[in-house]
Amino acid sequence: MPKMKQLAAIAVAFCTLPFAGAIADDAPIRIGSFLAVTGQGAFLGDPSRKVLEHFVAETNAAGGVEGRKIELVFYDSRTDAKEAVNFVRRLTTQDKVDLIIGGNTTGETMAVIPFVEQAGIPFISLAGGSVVIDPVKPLVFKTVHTDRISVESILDHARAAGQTKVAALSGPGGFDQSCRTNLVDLVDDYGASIVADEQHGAGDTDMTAQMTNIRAAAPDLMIYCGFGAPSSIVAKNHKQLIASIPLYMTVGAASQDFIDGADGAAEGVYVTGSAVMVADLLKDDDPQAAVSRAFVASYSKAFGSDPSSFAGHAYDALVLAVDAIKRAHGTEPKALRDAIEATDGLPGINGVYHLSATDHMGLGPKSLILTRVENGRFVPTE
Amino acid sequence: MIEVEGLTASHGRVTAVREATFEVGAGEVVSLIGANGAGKTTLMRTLSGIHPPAAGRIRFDGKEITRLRPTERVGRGLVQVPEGRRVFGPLSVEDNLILGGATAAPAERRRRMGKAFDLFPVLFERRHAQANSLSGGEQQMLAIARALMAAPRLLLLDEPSLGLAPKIIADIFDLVQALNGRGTAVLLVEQNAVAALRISHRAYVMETGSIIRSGDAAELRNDPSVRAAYLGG
Amino acid sequence: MVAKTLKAIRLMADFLQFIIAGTTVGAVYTLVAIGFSVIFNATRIVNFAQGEFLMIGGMSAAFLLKAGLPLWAAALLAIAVTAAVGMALEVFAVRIARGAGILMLIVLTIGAAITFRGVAQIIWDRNYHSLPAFSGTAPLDIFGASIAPQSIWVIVVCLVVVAALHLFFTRTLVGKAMRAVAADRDAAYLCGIDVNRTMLVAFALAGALGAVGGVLIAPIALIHFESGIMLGLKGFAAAMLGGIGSFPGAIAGGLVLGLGEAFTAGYLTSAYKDALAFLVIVIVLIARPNGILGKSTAGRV
Repeated sequence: MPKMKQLAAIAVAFCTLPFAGAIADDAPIRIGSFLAVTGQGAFLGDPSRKVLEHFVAETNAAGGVEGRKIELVFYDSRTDAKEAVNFVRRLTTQDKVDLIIGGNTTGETMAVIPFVEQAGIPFISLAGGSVVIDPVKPLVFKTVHTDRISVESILDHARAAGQTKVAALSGPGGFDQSCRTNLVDLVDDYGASIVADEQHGAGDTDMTAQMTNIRAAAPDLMIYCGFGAPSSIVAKNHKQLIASIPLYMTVGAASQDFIDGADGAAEGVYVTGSAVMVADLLKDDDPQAAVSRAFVASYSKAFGSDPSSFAGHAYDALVLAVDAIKRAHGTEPKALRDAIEATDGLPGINGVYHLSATDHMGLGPKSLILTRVENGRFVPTE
Repeated sequence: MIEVEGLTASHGRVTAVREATFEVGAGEVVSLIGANGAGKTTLMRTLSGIHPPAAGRIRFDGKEITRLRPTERVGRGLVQVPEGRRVFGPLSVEDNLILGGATAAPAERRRRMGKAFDLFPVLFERRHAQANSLSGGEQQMLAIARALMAAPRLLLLDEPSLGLAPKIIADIFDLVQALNGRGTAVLLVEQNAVAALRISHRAYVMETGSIIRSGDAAELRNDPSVRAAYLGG
Repeated sequence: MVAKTLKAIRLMADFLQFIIAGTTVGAVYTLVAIGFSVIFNATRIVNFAQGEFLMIGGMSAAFLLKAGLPLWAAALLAIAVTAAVGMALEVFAVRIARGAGILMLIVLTIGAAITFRGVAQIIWDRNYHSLPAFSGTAPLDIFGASIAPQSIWVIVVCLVVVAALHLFFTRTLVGKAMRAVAADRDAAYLCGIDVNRTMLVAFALAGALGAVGGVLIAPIALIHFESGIMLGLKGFAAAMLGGIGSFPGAIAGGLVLGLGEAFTAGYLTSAYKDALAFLVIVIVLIARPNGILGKSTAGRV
């Protein structure tokens, strides 16, 4: 079998050689990755890893990129910024990778940036925090909507509904606090004000006390800044105490686990999310329809379950990388970086990417889909 | 009844009992006398199986028990009343007795408890009281009654008179004689050597971990060197 | 005047709401604290895998439910499974390391906790799992405060468990034997009490208690392989607060901690709630090292 693969690779290389002078060799493209497969960020890192491994294999089976196979060099950073730095140094010095995809959390991503810059190779981050690309760093890109866009999308919807008094509840995590900061920062622009600003702790099992205070503040809407299991608890406690106040959540709650964990209490909750959550409900002419349906189909077939919204981040990063490698005709760092920055109109799971020298994410607020939970699943709102 | 051969036991590097060899026959009361720290209590604990021996053999009823667990020794009738009484303070008098008969079947346990209350009417009166609340003499009675609940054939008594009033000490020694009269063998460790020797058939003298003398109780009681060392002249 | 009265009524309702929240969480802390106390009494070991028992119970129940068992059967089987895990911990780790010092044994339980978490994410997964609420989610209204049916379950089951344990420890031979071992282990040996079996029962009981907590909390808070860390810590704090080894202390400690958290979140800032809770514990432990209900050991010889 390996012989056949080698033969095929040689054949492909031979055929393309006369046409593409830029191809220096047929050595594999080395993509380095560090992901939070264990630890706090496991719910992000685990699907990321599955997606990268699966779709790299799929790409290779289809002949690779520019006649070259992709080789994935992967480490589990355990949601630990120190580990992430160690692995990035190993990736750049020992493994000599061509680019890096990884960093599920904002903390890990920010910690490794100096080392990526030292090595001079492109880095596509899978973290949510806006600090990753604001200010712009030449080599750093990201595919995950910033928390700021989530908040903008929610406030936009609230303004249209005439809701101005905002109650905020946030958790202790970096994403939670960054989301809350953005919310405080943005409310004025939308003619709204914050009337309650509650917080909860790590591992809290009950937030009815916070709901009681929110009820006392009589808000028009409630926004939860947080991710993972607390989202389900918030939905339950919200339903128990203040069901009549509309509840909005960010991409942090954009997974089926949120709905299942809330035991019915997620009904009617607004959640900002991506095309993957509603792939089958998109209009056929939607630019994201084809790519997200293909992704969901391939993922479901490989893993026997639907992908979470978080799984799309790594897929988009890979798509972004492969597209840029094709246009750069190789992995020369400078050319590859320029090619990623020049991405324009590439449809992915999280939106259609329009990158530029001033925007290293390339996703506007409209790329987010505001969904509402109905009958146990996310449904796009008009 | 019990035959001990070359028994050695240590606390870390300190040898507390050195090659002790002795025996207690059926129906005998045997005293083990010696100064504080001679190793008597360690020896008793080793016999009961709660201190591991470093060397030597213990045979009970002719059978090797050196490696048996404490609960199995109690089941065979080798029962100890530990130094300092060691009643279960937070538990009631009745529960202390029930636990003394832990190795017996429920019906047998009830029968034995009836006998224990006959022997110690004061314990019956205070059967619902916490063991902590008993006087020192009552606690000693409870400790002995608790041991009797296991139907001992050889009773190991470690310093039963310690810290008790003279009147009660006399009662305790009377009791030991009475128990012996019903066929229970007794190995008695006592600092109060005069009283111990008076009710014993035989005795061993222990010094710094070794048994240095043995003989009839009467003979030792009259031995000038023993008198000088242990009997207060 | 009317507005003032209405405001007072609303403040009372809020106050009641905090009490409900605190009592529910406190009941779970109590169950964990009692688990700590059961093992501590029998062995003098502080079992830092107690929180993991809770996690194993909740996770087992969730997966048994997914496998098609009815909820009650999944819950009972999960409790049995966790009791067996507790026994395995005693037989294969604690018993073998018996000769080592208490400190070593405590470190051993920390190792066991890490192992349980690792194994849990291998045989199950790293996702959050939930159980359906036992009797629906429609909240009940009492004096303007709202209580979820599951909260009533948590509080009632906790009370039943405490009552059952009280009977177990005061009415059965095995229970009395466990108290005897706690009071004086050597004397227990000399009575012929099978101390090994007593320790095994203690670990089985602690496992079952943890699982009960896990099954009760899963519908409220979800469960995943690391759920035991924080709940274990809070339960330990509750045990220390009440005096480790004491059941009334475990109840008092659990309630004080749960209510303290709820009132802090309600009236002060919820951001520093955990820090405040632990600060209170440190202060209590300095002022009363044996816990709020613990007896002074100074008078004991």
